[in-house]
Amino acid sequence: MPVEPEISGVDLVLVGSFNPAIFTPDWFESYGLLPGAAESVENAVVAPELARFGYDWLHLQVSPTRFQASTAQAPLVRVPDLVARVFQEQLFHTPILAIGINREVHMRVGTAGEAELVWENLAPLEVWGGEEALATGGTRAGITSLAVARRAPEGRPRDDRINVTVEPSVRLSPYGIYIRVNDHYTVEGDPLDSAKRAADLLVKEFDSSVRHSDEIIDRTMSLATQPEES
Amino acid sequence: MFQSGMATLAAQCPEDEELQESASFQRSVGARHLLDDEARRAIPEAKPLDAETAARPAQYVAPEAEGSGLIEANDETGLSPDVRSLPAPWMERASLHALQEWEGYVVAIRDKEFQARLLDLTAEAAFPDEEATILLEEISDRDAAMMRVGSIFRWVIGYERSPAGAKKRVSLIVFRDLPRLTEADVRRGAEWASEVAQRFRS
Repeated sequence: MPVEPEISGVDLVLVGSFNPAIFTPDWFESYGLLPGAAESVENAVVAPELARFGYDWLHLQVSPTRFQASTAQAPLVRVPDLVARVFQEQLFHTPILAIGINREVHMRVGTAGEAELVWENLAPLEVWGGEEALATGGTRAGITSLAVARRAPEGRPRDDRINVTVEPSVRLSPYGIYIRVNDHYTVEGDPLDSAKRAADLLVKEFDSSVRHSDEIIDRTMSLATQPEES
Repeated sequence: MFQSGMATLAAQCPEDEELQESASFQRSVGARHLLDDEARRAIPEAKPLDAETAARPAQYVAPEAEGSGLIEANDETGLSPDVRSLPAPWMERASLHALQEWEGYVVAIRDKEFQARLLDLTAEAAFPDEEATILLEEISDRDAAMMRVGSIFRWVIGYERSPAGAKKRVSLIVFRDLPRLTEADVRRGAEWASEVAQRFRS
């Protein structure tokens, strides 16, 4: 990457039907999914409507309709490996309707000028009345959030899409930029065997999805060195 | 399927020297010698993550939204223009970004070291054409106990940043806990290997 992220990770989200009460640290440890989880988890919450805990490299959160596993620690592939094992080896009758592979980074450019180039190339201020019109109380305003969606990339099912969000970073200041790429996959076919198909999809597509997301992030950050479009 | 297919392919084509030997170079002494002198001096011993670098208690909760992303481009989220996406709890932890990443598989295990074939993921290499000999002390005790010939791992080298801003170089080897292969997976892998082997022969 032309700019190295200061915060970098992936957030894997499954949409379907889940029972949060199952996902205890003991359950993960008993099936060999997370060794030592029962002793070492942090901030564990397990209730009928919500399960949530932190474990070493993993953050897990489960609601009745969403299963979310996240990490900010490379190698990122540990997340889909774990999720695939959960739904292929144990919970293989879980209906899963969609998968989101969300790549997220917070990056800092070196100067105010480089940050300005990114925002100006993404959304020229003249369209919005110019810098003077956007200034409020002495503080320069501008882009708060920019979102782009692309439908059915590269021959995938019609409802698949890639959503990209670019915002000023709330974690890195000054000159911080936050980029999230949501790679959304639909899990087609009979919901009763969708867990196996979801697991196969994760193992097969995860690396290429992250690589493609990183390419989008690289192209966005390369704007920091490009002259503004006239 | 790639991993089971590659092992099957190598077994089916013992006469193919290019497949059986590393193509570009052989590394025979220690994992750290994969790097040049400057990089090797700069990288500390491979260690598991320090518990002290783990996250502070979460301060933020990502806004809920329909779909698989946190916020989708065409969702009616009801947020005012001044409200931005808040950082998720997992972002409060130390972050390790890989500057270099390999996927490897074990080809031999000895008393204090193991030998592995490596695929350069960062360079998007098509074949695992690098080899390394890695000391067992570079991996966790659990991985060392469970490792077998054919075991697959990821090796990452990068910078780990704590929430407080401290930065350090890290080299980390993690063995993958992949879903167990089913009979259908093995059959598909064998079919793929046979198809590729046939192409080599023709």
